[in-house]
Amino acid sequence: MAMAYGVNAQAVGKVVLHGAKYGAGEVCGALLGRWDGAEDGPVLVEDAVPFFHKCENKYSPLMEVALAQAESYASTVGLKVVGFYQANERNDDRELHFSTKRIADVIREKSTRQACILLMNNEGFTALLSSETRDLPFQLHVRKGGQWVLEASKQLLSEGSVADVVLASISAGRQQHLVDFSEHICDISKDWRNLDLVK
Amino acid sequence: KRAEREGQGAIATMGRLPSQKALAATLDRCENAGHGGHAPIDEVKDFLRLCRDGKVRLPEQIARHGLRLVKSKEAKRKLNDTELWLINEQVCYALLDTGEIDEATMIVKALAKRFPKSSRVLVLQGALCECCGDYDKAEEVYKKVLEENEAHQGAWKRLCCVAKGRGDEEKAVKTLKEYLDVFCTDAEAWEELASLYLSLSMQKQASFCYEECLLIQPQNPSYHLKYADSLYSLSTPSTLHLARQAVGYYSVVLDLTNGSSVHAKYGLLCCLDAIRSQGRGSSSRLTEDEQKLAAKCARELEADYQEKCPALLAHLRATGILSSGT
Repeated sequence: MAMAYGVNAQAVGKVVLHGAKYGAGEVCGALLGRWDGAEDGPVLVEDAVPFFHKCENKYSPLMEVALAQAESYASTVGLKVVGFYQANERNDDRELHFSTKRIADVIREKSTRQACILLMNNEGFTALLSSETRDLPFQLHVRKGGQWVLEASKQLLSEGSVADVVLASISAGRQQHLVDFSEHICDISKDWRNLDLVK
Repeated sequence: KRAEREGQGAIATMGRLPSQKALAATLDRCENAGHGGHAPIDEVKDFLRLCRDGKVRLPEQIARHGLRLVKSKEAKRKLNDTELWLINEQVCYALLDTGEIDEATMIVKALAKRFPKSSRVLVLQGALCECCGDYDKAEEVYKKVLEENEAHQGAWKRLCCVAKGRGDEEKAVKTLKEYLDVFCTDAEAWEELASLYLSLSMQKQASFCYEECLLIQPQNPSYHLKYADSLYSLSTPSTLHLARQAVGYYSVVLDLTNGSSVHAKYGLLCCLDAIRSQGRGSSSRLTEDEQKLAAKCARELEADYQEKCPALLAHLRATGILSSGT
């Protein structure tokens, strides 16, 4: 387990936009970042690849395909898959579901031992979007003692400007332009890398 | 006009699924309308109808355009009674999705006035309670509807939603199973039950549900796809015959979609790759037909990517599944 995890505006922006676009259901995706390899070195999450908004896709071969393609893309920009994000369907559901943990285990095995899970706190998400708070709406989970445990929020580092960038993206309606892997499968001309989505 | 009719034809042949293009086109016209941003009534009417036909959930857009229509005097003149109230109901559900409770309440009141004894309106009132988080009241409303008419499908389904909303997935499953005991040909309900089972990590039970869907709508590629996915996820190195079964169903999807389903091609290639790499002994060898099928799928997928998204081709190749046929 790394000592700290950092997130930047691009990663947070894409995760929040994914949640905003598909507010009625659950969303999930991969977190891309860098880890210098030191036992207690920080993991810096710099990008995100939105995977699915249809929950059945998580239990299909598309999950493995999406992970492999995310890893491939990560390597082209000097990153690795360093975690998984999940926003549960229900507003007050702060539990890590079995499927979420299982996918994160696969990521730990295949990509980064220090992989983390970011669970989107739906109520926090609403609070951020209505400017009641500047706190990022995530709960960080890491692997400790053979299980996924909730880590204190101070372990998730970010610059103050991240909230501004995220709110600006939402105000500009950028979520309309977000493409996740589910959408890509329906129309492969849609690009799940979302290269210029968050500025 | 001709394009619209073609859109309708596509909707008819694809069953529940509207032609995405037709829907996208009318939505585009609504969003980019002149007249100071107000889309013409006919355009909004078409957009809303396509959404209803295809049961498409676009709450933000439906609420925005639909609400203006509902409040417009011109619309009330132009639309016949049935369509006007169908739209009111549709817009109301959209407003519940976007959380615009005041506007939704206004519509519910209008509907209750127009249809005073309607259980359909009662169900909508229940949904309004759910939106406000009052699950107890909602449950009361639905049970009342069911007391008077135990076959009211809408009320049953909303009871299931109440259980889901409370986070009681097991209760939701129980309610839905009770419903399906009576309405065993409701494919959509079987699909919802499958979804609930998946969220409870009960893949086998989900698979049974998709089998029911297939019995009811054997021509629906979506059900073959979901069933194939469930078989794949159930398969293990010692039960690769399930992966082979999945291959069969993915092939049916390709037949039903004129070879266009990208999801089916991915599924097929993943199955054949799993058989080849995880199988032991003779079961790991792909038959000649299977090899040909893999090669064909891989070729088509690569050509598709090359044409539509060449920048992503490398990532497709990195999955390693394209070489199943070699």
